[in-house]
Amino acid sequence: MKKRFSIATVANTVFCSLVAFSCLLPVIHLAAMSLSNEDLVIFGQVSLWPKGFNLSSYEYIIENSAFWRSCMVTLLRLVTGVPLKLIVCVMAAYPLSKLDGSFRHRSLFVWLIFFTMLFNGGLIPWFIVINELKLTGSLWALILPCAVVPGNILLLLNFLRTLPGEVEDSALIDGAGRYRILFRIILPISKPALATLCVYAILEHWNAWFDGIILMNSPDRYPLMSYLYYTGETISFSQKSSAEIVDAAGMGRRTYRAAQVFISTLPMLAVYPFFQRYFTKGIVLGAVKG
Amino acid sequence: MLTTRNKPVRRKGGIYRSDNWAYISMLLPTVILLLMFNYLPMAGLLIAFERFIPAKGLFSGSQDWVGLRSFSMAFTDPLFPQALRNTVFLSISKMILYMMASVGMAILMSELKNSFHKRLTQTLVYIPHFISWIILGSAMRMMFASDGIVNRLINSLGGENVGFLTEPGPFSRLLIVSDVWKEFGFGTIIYMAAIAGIDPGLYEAARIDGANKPQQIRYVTIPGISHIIVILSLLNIGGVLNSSFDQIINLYSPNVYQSGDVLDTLIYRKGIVASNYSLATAIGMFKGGVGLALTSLAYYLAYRFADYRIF
Amino acid sequence: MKRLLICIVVIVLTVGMAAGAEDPMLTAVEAYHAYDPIDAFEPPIDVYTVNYVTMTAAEMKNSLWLDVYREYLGVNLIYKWIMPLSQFDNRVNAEISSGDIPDILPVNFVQLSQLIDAGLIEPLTDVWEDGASDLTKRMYELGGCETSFRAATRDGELWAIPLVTPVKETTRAMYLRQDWMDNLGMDAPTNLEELLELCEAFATNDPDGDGRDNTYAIALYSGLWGDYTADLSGFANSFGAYPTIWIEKDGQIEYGGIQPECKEMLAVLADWYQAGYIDKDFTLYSLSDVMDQFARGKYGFMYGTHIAMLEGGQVLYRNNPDFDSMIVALPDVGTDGYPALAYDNTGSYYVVRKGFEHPEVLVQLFNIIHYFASASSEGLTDKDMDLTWWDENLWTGGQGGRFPWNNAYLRPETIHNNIERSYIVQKALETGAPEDIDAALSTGLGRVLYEEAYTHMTQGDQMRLSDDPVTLLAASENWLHAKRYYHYKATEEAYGDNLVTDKRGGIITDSIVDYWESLYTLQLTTYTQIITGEKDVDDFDSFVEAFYQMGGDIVTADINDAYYAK
Repeated sequence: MKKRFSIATVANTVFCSLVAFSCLLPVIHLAAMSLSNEDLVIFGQVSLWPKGFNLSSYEYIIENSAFWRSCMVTLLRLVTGVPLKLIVCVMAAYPLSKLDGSFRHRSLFVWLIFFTMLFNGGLIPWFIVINELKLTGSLWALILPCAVVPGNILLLLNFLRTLPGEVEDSALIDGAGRYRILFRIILPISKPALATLCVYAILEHWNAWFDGIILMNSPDRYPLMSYLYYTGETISFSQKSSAEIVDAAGMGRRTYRAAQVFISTLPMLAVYPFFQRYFTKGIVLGAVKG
Repeated sequence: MLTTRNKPVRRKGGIYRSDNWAYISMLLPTVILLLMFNYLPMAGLLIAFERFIPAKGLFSGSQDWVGLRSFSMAFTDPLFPQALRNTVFLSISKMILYMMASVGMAILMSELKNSFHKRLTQTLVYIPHFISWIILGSAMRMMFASDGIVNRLINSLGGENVGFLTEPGPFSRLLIVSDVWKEFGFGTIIYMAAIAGIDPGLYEAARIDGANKPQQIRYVTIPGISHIIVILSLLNIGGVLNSSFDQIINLYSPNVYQSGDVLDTLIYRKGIVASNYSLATAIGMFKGGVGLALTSLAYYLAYRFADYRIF
Repeated sequence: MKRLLICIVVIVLTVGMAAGAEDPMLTAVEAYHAYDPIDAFEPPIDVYTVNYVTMTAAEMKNSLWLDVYREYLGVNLIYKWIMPLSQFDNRVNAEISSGDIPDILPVNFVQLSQLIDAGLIEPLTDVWEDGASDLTKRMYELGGCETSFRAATRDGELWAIPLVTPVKETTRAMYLRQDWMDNLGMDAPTNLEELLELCEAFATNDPDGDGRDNTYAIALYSGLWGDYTADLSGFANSFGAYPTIWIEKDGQIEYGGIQPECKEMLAVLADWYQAGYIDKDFTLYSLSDVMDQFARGKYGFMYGTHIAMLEGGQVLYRNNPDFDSMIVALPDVGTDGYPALAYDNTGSYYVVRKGFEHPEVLVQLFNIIHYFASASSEGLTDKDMDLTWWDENLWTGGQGGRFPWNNAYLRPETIHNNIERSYIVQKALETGAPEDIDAALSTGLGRVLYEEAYTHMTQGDQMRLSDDPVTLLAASENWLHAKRYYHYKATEEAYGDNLVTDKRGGIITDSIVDYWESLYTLQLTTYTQIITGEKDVDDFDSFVEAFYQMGGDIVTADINDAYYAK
């Protein structure tokens, strides 16, 4: 069938492009800032094109081994933390999704889990618990406390309820256990939901900066966002040696922050496109019909 | 949740098997983690009823019990009613606009024909989420100043200067629109996934019945993602007393406290003299209580009138 | 066979070199112990502490200073954790709550009071009296530390050693744009009237000569005061107004912000705002925004400390060849006028946990850095001792950048004796006499200052015209530091000892914790509204009433009680 370029299609394309462009503009501005001379930024002369082009901000960040160390920490955190979040979420959402009475104590667990979305004891008790568990300073402090995300469980739970009940019937007849059903049957047809959760989990770990700062014992062990946040706060030239000034000439707090946004955003731009192929139609249907 | 009706929902001819232990074992990791990192610290809610002084120790029992004093000090603070009002107004406005924007964009983006354009747009719209308010705030202060680019544009079109950051009225609108702009792209992720999950057969059927695009959207797409919309709204309603603290702290100033000062910024300022953990915990409890009430209400309404169990 | 021979040669050489070489650090250790006979702990004891980090973490943890502490004092200083200042208090509070206090701990004033009440720290009166070296005590006295020690004292017992910045180094001056003054043909104002004239000239007489009406009378930002530049409290000082502190008036302590002099000042500002002499956007400016505006040539002067030109000023210096700053004391302030405002000069209070066997370690840490800063110039060591080791490694260059002393555990500003040092360096620059230059170069810090000032004097004008960003940056840094002398000269001469500090310093009461924030917000909002014209100047009086009604009366009474009890 020939593609019809109706007015609606064209209007849609234009509108979406405008919106996307409005999101792109500040990014271009930040890119320009990060590549510009700090003085010119202060004078307000930098809008969409770098002025006084220099790579000092990026060099300042990248040539610091502490930066790479923090990338490593974040990488470790992702590799361990994301699978943990996913498994926890999946194993919690499946039982809670069962409205058919096969789970007698479902309500109790619903309360248990979702109550925590609304109430918490505050920063100090939370810190004390983590400290008493001897987790402060260790990577686990960045992974365990945030492993359960009730909001994500809720999303997955509701998604699972949209799956037709028939998919489990044959397995139940065969006497398969719930674990087997969950991992062999349910998960393979939940790709869009899993992909979404994966994106969320990755972003949550990537963006987290506060826990790094308050739970780690030294900036050596900060994840990337915490590291960038803290170095941004401590930029000062009056205390630098002449060798360091060479690196830092032309940059300052503003260009640093702009470069910081880039470095923290770029890797994440690759995440979503990677998962986009899972957001396609008809996966659920195929499983039942086939 | 008001789940007095615990009658199971069953299909005709479906297979059912009670598997309590298997299910409980699946929930074990979650429960253990929550007990450790959420419930154990919850004992600290006691701080709200004490005049908390860190040096006296958290559970030593030597803290002064002051009952509801922190709550009453908060509620009688001259700026409290305003902060509460602003918080609710900003939250609800943002929620509504956010939902409209992310659902709307998700639908429109799904309709884009060129797959490259579609992917590109999807990626671009979720970039603002990553720009921290520190830098966005400073850029906005420049853009929306009286000689900033936005006002110059308004002037060139014949309009008068708008005090976006200096007057309460425009300020609240700026807060709402800028926050939605920053976050809506993130919201489209889940809606795009949901739209992808809609049975294509339904579209086919609608087309056969003679529905045009807008009608397909109205009768197939939107109902198809309605459950997600409801869930997300519910998730948000419990948080109506939360605010985008980072945004406000980077954009507000005493002149616009009238519309921009929220509970979180009020507590923040009150904690500056001496970290006032009692007050912060008290307000946190207040927020939790309100959130619980609203969430329960929303659950009940969804159950009663739409026969939909959110939890 | 050949390989074996090579190994033997290498080994012999290494051993030979090790045996013959003297460890310069250990030689310096001898000199220190000769001066200040203390028994270093043998074997070294472990002392646990925490700190907030301003340099990179690696520098702090690998700092040569840790070796110094081990060698000189026999103290193995171990950092349990270090973190940025922004969350430092939260973590300290959390650890205090769980009773987990390290051996030595820096705290703020509120935490100090709470720790004293809870009996969690050791008293330090004797430890300080007996342990602090004469040098340390003298430096502290020069710095004017009575308020800080008073704050740390309760019922006659000293509970903490405060980290003090000399009070005279906290004073404000006016930084005027020399180029604008030249364009307008005006002199520095000597009294309030002349100051107001100057401001209006800045706003109306096109001081930058570009034919556009784009300059303002005064720089203001949304917070109005309280930082190192664009500080309204300097302007207020010339009115005899003290909007930010508690002052003594007729035998009572009252809040400066509700006094009639503030109303006068606000009236002037309100007029200026209406006339367009004040930037209409000031209410949304953060401090760095206002610095940017200064760099863009909107203002003629800043009120601030010696780093008032730190950001905007340096940018202008680098990019505008005509720009220079004129540093003048505030008019009508000082020995011939109102008392000059001096600021809270205490950083952290260092405490020792109860039960720690060696509280004297804390005082020794203070001693050792004061010693290294001053020993060579105070003639406190045998002049034949080679002092290059510690000058080079602990003071300048070497490991850790321009100021390795930043990696020391304690960094009191008192060690620098900045004011005296600036005078000595300036003298050397002016006279060029060998003995003056020697005096200037006699300490590590003096050397740095002298070199910078000398470079600025001889090459500064040339360097600032360069295109190379490195040269420019160096030029502006040199300029900034060379100007320090003028700040001290202006303020020392004009203000003398006629300084006033916040009478509330060192006092914390329940009423302050409960009410102060609301009162302060009320003040800030009211002042802003009066300036912008939203409220009438006469509304100031109703503000004063509201202040008392909202708890200000309780706070005032409490502060009076606490102040006179001491």
